[in-house]
Amino acid sequence: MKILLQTLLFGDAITSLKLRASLGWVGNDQYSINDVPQRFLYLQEYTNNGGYTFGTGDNFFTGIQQGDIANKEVTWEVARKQNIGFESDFFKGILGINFDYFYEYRNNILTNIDAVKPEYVGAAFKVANVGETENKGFEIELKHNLKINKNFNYYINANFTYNRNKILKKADPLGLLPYQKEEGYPIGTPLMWKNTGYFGSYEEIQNSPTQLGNNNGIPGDIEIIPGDLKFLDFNNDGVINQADAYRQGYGTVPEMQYGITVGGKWKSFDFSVLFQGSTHSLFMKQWEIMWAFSNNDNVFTKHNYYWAPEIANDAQFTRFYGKSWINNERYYSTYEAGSGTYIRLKNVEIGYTFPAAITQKALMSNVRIYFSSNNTFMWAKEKYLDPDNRDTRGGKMPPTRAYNIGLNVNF
Amino acid sequence: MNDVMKNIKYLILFMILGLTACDDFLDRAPGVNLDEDKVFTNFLNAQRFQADIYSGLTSRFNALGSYQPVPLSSASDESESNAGYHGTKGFNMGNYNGLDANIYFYYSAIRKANLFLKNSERIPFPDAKTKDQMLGEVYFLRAFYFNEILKRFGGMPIMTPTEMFVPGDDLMRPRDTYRDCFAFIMGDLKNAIDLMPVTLTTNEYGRATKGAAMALKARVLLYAASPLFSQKTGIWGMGGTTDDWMDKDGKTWWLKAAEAAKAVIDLKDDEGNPVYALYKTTAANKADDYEKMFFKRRENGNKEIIFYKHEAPVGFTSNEINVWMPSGDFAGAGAVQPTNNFVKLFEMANGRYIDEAGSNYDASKPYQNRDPRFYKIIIYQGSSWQGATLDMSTTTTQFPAGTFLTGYFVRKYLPEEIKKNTTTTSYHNWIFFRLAEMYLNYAEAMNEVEGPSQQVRDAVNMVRARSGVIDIPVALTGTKKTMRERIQRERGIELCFEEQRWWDARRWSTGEEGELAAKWFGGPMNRVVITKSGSSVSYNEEAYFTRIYQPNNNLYQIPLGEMYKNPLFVQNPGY
Repeated sequence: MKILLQTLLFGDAITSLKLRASLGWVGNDQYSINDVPQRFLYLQEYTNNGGYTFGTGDNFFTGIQQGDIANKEVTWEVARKQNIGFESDFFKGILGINFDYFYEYRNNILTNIDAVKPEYVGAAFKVANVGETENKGFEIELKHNLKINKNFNYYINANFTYNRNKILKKADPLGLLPYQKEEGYPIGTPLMWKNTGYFGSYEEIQNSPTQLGNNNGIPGDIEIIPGDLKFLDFNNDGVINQADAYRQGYGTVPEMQYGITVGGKWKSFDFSVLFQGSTHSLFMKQWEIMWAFSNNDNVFTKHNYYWAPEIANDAQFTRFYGKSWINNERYYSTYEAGSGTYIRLKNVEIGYTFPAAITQKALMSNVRIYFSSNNTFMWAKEKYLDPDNRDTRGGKMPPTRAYNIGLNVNF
Repeated sequence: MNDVMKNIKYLILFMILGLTACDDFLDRAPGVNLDEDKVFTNFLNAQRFQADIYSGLTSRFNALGSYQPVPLSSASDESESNAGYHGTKGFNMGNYNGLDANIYFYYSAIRKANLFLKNSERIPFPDAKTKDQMLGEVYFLRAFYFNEILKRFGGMPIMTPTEMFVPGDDLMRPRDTYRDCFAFIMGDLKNAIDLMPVTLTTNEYGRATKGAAMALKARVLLYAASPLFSQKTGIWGMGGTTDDWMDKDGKTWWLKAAEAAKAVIDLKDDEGNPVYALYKTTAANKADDYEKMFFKRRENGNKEIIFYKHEAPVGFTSNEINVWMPSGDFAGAGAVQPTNNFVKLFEMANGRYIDEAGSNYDASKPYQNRDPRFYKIIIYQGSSWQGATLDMSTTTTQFPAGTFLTGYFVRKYLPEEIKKNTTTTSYHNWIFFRLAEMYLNYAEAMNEVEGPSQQVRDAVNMVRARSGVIDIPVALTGTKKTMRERIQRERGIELCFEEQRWWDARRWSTGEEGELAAKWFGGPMNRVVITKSGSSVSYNEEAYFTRIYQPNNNLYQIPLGEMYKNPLFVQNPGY
């Protein structure tokens, strides 16, 4: 569906304006476990597997096992996709605005249903058409392109994308607390405790709900002392336990992404700058980056700033506890959640093109010298890890920063 | 226009033909050529399927944890695991949510058994004898696995060949009563005992026999007769001490347990010879036989074992050995360390407990003149091990600081010839049932029936004599109660580390404060701190950890995840 519309109201201001809308259904029957596509979901397979050792020679007798239980009713999942938006251009390229609103509804999503299958069933089931999700959002793109005079022109392109998804239906166990179910939350929203800082004193510990030690809050826990983590009593029952973990924060895929490019030309000089970034995402940090001395005694700079009364406000880590872990830092909590919010100066480039009069004498049609840089700078909430990297423990190589000086010569 | 319509008609016709022409070969997953028909209409395939039902049997030397997994004895007072990541730590701190639960594991083996039974009529067995034997084994295994669940949780859903759930079924079932589960197991065992042979050919070793099913029957009856299960009703117990509802023979469950154990002891083969015998050789030190019994199979003259996990010999690098092996110079993980609570349970050589009058126990020489089995079960200060004299004092040079906690290691189950940097291997039997247990089952049950009679006494002394242990003192066991306590202690020593005490203490309790299980598995755990000064050695007992054991821990907690799934499930009391 395409409409081309020239309004009388704005007259010549509108160079072009397109409205667009779409509606479609897409089927999908691909399902993978660890990147291995699962085919034949409706077929009951048997494999040569398992077995036992018999006899004085201890020979292993290979067995035959029933595979995961087939789902004879399985069908494909369906996504209904809707789109509405416009493309526009005002004043012959000086201002362009593109906008799209999208909505996607998926149902019959192939879902692992083991979470609702009691263990006495005694077998793994193949996936079933259970899941239901929606995803909606918009994209906006602004373009500005202006030629001031023969010596100077510039352009600005900016884009912004927002999307929010929601699990409408999933194989959540019936008895799970509503705020612990996946249903109703965006995909991948972590289930975790909320950390409200470090305990500053014994008085504070005494006046707070009973906290998680190292044994899930049941008898046998270690004693909590100042410098340990303080967790939020979400259900206000005076005790921190399993029921105080709730779905909160964001998934690992950012809800908002943005970018802006500015470029132009002044006489023989040209330049361009690209910023990009995203926000509303989380990644959970564990091991080396969080826990001092973990995995063969790794320590980060942050571990120097362990909690102590003198630096309580600047602590980057719980109280110091030596090499064997004994405190309550290893719970899945907001203490371990890293923010995915960042803006990166992705690329900068400045160039100079020598006047044609000079270069043509040297039989060269075009000579340009330039300086550029990639990954020049980043502003991020997370200090130690690159949010783009999906690194959860501090072991991955971050994107490298590069500076280039170059010369382009065309004959 | 007419032409177009005609063409469309043909096109539609063609499409319909195309749809109906689906061939079976298109439905085949590549590389897979087995389906239910092919498995159960071919004897060799059915045999392989049946063999895999055995894979639910595991040696439990490394029952709990993922790194350096430790045995269940470290959850009981027999031993301690010296590092926080060891798998029994949760139990020691009173956390029962999901530990050692294994519900899925055992039920998946039960499902295999059910699938076999469901298809058994169409399997082309070569002869009736083979059919009987294979079916008998499957009945036995189903009973064995289900009993593992029953003793942990109490009544749980009974799964039969009609409960082969598939996606889309209503999966929710309530827990069945203890009686129903018990009766179901007894039914399976009756079939198994009827169908299975008494003896096996050597290439069948490892398979279950009639004796294995009889031994399981004896144990299941013993558990059902015990206070924890006999007194409770519904999901949690038998609701009475007398059989007035199953065979309705009016016998007490204790008597039936005693008879079942006696039947195993008396079992004869086709030539009329006893099938089982306590392992005895002509060794000068009779306790040597106790030690070696765990490394020998029937073909090596060991007729004591009734049912065990059959596996190839293991060497130093196996977790079965390495996790238990002393650390330091001996290069093991040393992760299984007997507590001083347990070491104090060993009698003196004169048959007295160390705290009884006339024991002659000398606290400054705690390892002298003890039960002969002590020297085969425990590695202690000054004992000789793999050519070295053990030094577990505070100034030892054999161990780096912090590698031992209690002052002991386990010697039982460790073949001394398996040393670091060698490739020596040994049979290493994880025993599910052995004859000594049947004697002790018989003694315990019969004592409950008729008090400390001569046959009770004989049965206990039979087991003790094999290891060169003096008879139990008659003067100290004149009543049912004193004899009961003596037998309980005897089981603790003879069957230590065999995953018996953890269950025994529970079944001897009923969930009240101050009972055996809470007394033994909760409270302070003690070690011995050994200091040397010159040639003199001093031993000081000190508590190193206070374990949590609540009276309700006699039954495991139904894992919370299972409770969330199933609204029909009732949680065990106290969780």
